Amino acid sequence: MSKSGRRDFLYGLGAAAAVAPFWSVLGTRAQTNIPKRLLIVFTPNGTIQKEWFPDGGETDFRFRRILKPLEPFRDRLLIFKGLDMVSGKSGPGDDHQKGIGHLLTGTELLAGDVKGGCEPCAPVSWSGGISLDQHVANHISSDRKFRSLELGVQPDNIEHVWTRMSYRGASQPLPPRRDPYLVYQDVFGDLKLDPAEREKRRALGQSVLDFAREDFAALRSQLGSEDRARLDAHTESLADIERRLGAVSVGAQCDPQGQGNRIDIGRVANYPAVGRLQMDILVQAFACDLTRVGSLMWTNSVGDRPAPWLDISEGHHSLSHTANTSADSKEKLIRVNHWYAEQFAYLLGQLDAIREGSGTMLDNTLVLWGNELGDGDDHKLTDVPFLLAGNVDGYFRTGRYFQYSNRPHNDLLATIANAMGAPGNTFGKKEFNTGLMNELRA
Amino acid sequence: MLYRCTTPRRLVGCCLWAFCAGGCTGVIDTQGSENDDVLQAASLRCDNKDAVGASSLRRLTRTQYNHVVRDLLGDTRAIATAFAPDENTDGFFVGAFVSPALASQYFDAAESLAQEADLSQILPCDLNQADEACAARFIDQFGRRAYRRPLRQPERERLLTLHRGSAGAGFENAIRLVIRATLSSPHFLYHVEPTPAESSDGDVVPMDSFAMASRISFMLWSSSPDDELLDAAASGELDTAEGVATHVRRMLDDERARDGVLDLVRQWFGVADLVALEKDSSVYPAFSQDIARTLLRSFDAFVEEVIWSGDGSLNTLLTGAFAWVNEDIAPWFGVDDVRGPELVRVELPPDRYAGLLTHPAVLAAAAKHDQSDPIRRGLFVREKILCQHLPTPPDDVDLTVSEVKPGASTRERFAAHTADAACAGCHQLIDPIGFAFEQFDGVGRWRDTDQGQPVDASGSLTNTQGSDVTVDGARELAEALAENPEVQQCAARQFFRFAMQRVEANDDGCSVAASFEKFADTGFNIRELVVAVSQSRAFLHRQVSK
Repeated sequence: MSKSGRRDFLYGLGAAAAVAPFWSVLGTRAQTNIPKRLLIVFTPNGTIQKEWFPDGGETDFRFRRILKPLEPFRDRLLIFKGLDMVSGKSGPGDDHQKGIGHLLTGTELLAGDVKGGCEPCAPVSWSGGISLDQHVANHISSDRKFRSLELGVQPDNIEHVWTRMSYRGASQPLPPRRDPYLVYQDVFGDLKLDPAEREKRRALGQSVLDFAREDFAALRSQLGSEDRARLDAHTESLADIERRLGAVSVGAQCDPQGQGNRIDIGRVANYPAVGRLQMDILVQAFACDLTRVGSLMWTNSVGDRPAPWLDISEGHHSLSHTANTSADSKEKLIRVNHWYAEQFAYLLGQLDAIREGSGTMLDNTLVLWGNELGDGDDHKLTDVPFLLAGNVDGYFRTGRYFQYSNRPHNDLLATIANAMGAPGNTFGKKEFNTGLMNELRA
Repeated sequence: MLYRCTTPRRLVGCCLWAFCAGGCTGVIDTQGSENDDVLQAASLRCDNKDAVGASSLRRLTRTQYNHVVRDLLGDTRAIATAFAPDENTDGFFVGAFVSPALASQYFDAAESLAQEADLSQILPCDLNQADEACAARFIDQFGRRAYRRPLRQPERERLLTLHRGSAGAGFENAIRLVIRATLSSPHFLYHVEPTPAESSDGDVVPMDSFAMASRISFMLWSSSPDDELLDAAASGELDTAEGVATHVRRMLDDERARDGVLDLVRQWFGVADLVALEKDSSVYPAFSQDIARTLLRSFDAFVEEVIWSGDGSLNTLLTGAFAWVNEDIAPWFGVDDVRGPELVRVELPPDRYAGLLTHPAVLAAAAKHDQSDPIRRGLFVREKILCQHLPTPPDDVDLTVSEVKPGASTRERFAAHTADAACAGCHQLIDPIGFAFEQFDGVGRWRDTDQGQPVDASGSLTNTQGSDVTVDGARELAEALAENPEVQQCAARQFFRFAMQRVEANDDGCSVAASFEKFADTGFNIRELVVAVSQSRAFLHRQVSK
């Protein structure tokens, strides 16, 4: 499946060689200053905690069934038990809504004039603050072609709180991009342009942006404060577009290969293939240094895709609600989550395959894997499965398993922000923090 | 726990919950009165005739963008369909927030639309004899259509400057740049509704004439005003309610009114995304994307007939026993003598079918991928047809899919909700409505048996402003709904929400009530409802926000 998916989409190395001259025209940077990157992976519907959390202690832990595929990366991981979304006790929304909305923001959901929920769900709007990835992006990626890349694997194509985990700010959800074919064009497509053509396009685009900006500024002065905030978010995006138009320096290991055929991103059977393509793109976007912050959303909160490639015909979310009453459901959920661990291992493997400095790209990348719930059956926001991979150039001492008791996940978010060079003792709403996790440090 | 429910495989703006305990009274009392507080949408109370709810800044929705560029440039193949999705306010899509992804999609779309525009169709002069005077004329004409108002002098100057600055690349390229800049402006992308500079926060002021034109055209056409409407705005015709009514009637007769009204009715009945609907092919091998597309055309044809050539009544919309079918979907209606790909009108058995409420597009959308779904159908009626809201189920409720079991009817498998006291409170409000649709399977086809058992489609409609009724089947349910005052009020609300691109607020009570009264006076004629909404104070005014 994985191989055919890749062939569907990315040509072999021959094609990459053919475009190589253009890279050199643009100039690759010498590998003196290796950047840090943050990558966030989400999988839905909680997990089977008994098979997710390892046995044993901090350093002698042993994987149980679900995380087995991560064995090759055992020494590169920090695994956590006892992290709760304490914020989930506050604010509007049901547990799925809070789980996904609080996951990266560490703050409550808002009420608002647009509904962020399914129709009969609690009438919430969006999260009330910036998400970790965007906060970090503001610090380490704002001069890149893309401040960040939000990619998704068949998330429902609809604006509601279940389908969004990244926020530019309060009530500013970022939709994950769904089609790897289009993402590829957008991210890598113009790298092949020759400099004269690129400059021509840049100049035209710039004149359009300049024109639009004047209109945005004039319109802004006529609006009320709430509308002004919305328009400002749009104006800020114009700066992102402007940066994208400019010349980009690409990373030394940049090798996005060619673009293959488009595949149907809606078909359930293509779910694994779409996932691989999106992971490949994220890894290459890092290697090309086109962004330093990315995220990958496997479906969305309450995602209900079946897994025919595992001979599982029931939807994931539906299964999750019989985990504690049906042995058959439980077994299937273990297999689904085990499969997600395999995908996560693939991603780590791809990062680890790229040499960088004296190590690999994985050594300079922090990968966070999270979920909107702990136990999927009873919808609890306690013991949410979190793990980190990568040590961010020696910042963390990895290969350890930490077992806390009711520690707020805000502490993890704040700790990650610090590791990535975005200082601060808290993240999200202050009252949900108890302090940085300095015990993770090397 | 035995609560059974599911989220549909494809979440189309809605999930299916088991409603247990939550906010509904644990056990419904015989009168149902305790639940009335929970259920009934804020009644149409008119407290302050002058008040008007606040409107937020809206951008074009994807549907509007598609129609707008079609009218500006010709077709352009629904480019916005690939944009980031729109937000949802109680069932209708609106454009609220522009994410970085959407901003970038706007930027790219402007570039490709400008590049591919057929200039011969939109330039006021021959491309070979083009000069600056031609460019200036083009800027005025195109700008007025794109911004839905005349350009202001500085805007005209800036576009001309842009044109001059790139004239070195040839007249044609310079015009394309002007188009691109125009399509990137917030005056194109947003519904800008100016208010007088000297007004204060909270004031209610008459709509700006050109913004009025846009409200009318986006309500009716889901697109920009035509030149005639902009002329009317310029001459002050839209500054009176009568002037607005005249143009609303004119535009309702225009072919383009199908765009707006069908957009509304499709969203109202939950079929806007029907083509993306997936069904389990092992259970429903006959269902396909092509069938879904044809069912949607059939849905549209029914609505068009009722509103434009039929009696226009809400009652017919909800109970009319006829349909438009071709040979592909004829079996969906139990019709077997239709040949060919064209839709033709057929009469249906009036004891089985009832307008949109039994249209297979609606019932296939309100179903699971492998079976019918009484809960979803019951909720659809409560939420969309009665405008009632139910509370969410508790967080820890078991929402497990109720799996199809040979020999066990859907009704039997769903009986747990109403049998369990914790669930009964809400589910007694939902299930008896949903069960009445059991004669229609998961893709909306008539059935006499379910898993080998005769279908039991008995149900009831309670806890509404109308009298409680017991019904046998969807037809009887539809008849009760069509005459129910809460359903009639709900229709008025839905048209108000679509027209205003927001949910009604308390301050809109008088506007909705006034629309409803006129609707009632005309025997619940939908065309007259459209006119009535356009005559409401909320539609003709705007609350100032500073």
